[in-house]
Amino acid sequence: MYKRTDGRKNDETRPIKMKVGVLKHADGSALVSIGKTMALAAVYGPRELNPRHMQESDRAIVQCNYTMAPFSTKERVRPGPSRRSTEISKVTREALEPALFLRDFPKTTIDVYIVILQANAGTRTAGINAASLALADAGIQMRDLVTSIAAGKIEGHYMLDLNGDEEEETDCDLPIAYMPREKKFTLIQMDGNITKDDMKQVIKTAVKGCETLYEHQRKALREKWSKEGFE
Amino acid sequence: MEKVEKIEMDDSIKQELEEDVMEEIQESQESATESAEKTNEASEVREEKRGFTRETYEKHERNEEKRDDAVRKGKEIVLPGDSIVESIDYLPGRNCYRDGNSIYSKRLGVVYYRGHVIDVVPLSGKYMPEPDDMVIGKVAEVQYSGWIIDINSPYKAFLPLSGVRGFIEPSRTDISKIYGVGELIYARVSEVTPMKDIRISMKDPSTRKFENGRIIRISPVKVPRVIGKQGSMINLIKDKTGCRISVGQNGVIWIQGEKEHLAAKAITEIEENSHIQGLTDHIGKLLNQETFKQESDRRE
Repeated sequence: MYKRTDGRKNDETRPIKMKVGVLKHADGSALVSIGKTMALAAVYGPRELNPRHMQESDRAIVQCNYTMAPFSTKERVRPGPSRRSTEISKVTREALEPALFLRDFPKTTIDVYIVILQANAGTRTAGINAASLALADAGIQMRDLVTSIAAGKIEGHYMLDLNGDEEEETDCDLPIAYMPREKKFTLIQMDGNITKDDMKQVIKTAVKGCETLYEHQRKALREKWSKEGFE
Repeated sequence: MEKVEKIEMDDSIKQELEEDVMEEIQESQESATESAEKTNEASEVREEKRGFTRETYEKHERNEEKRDDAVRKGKEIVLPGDSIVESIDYLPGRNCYRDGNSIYSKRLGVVYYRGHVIDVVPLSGKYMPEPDDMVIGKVAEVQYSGWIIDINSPYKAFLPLSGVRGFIEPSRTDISKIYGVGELIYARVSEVTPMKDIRISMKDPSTRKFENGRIIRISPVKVPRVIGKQGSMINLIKDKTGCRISVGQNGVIWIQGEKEHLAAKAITEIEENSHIQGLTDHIGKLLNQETFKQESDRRE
């Protein structure tokens, strides 16, 4: 059996911490840390969209902004948009959109801001998890929570939730976003080379991880809101 | 106001339910086996879907209600995507949707049953205007044929000239003299189109313009708490502070009077502790304490 650098089992995630409602000013917010990766998400909206030509008359639009804090890696990350952050903003938006009832609020925007405070592989997946929690916290109409995690294959073993060191060794790095109740994928990306059968196995591993994350997400939301039950 | 009615209805359901439970206990004492058979019977009938006898139907209703009450009393919150019931006998109401046989929640909230319609009352979120809501808005823009009003929602509302008392000839009047930019009004939502064009009106006798006083904003989902059952909470605050208070469904509250700050404090307290039991008593005590403190300060 391949020994993982941090002694985890192959299908085990890194330690997960989730907290909902960390920012007072945002309509919804969440902080998610998976191992050494930490993502903060804030959601505003639905709110009026300006400029007006961007409005869709029959549905809301989602604007997603993924950034890495300058101090998030060992080498300073140059602030501002980059090719990478633009791409991740786009795939994050597309991973979240299917879960939202956008037609419930035409002409508006839902703004999602994701900041990676600390990066050690799996930043986009941590970002999606945090954003999904923040959306639920903001009281936005959703079909399901979106969970996201990556998996890969190292020396013939399928590995869940690769960390920074493993990411360099793996044959492929395959992040997915998944709606556990709906059983639908909203994101599948892949880096590297892999056979079709292996890919199926890797996705299966990742789906299992998503189900664990789903429980964590639900727990985090309940933690904040259960006392609000009501009189 | 709508919310208050809902709470009333729930109480009546609760009463009915208690009676039913009492009946049930008597029944079960009479013969345990008989009732067991009946339950089987009821479930069989449910599988067949239709063709109830009156007796089994009543039993079925009672079972359903008992479960409803469990959900309502359990203070259980639902998250987006949570299954509420797995039955085609229910209809999805507010903030929930049907997928296959089940009804799921769309939002983070608490489940309420309105007969066979299921509503999820949200615990967070923005104000979405609905016809006949009373809202407090700020004039954002004056146009030739009316005003654009900010009603603390994702959509701006339009107050047309025809929505104002009396006849106005726009070519001869400066309508900014009626409501100028930045002024606050208490208005009724008269129309909401599917495209979310919002129209409000000032024709209702209860609508008015605010000349002085102060404004505080709370989360719109907490408004029913501030009003209380049949207005008990808001009346309490009005009595104890002697302030005039108007509560907009959009979470904007206008207060005017000598003890404005005290009323504002009470309302903030309600927003922060909306979940605790006996909130009205708690606020009553708080107001008494504060009033006492102020009076003794004055004497010194």
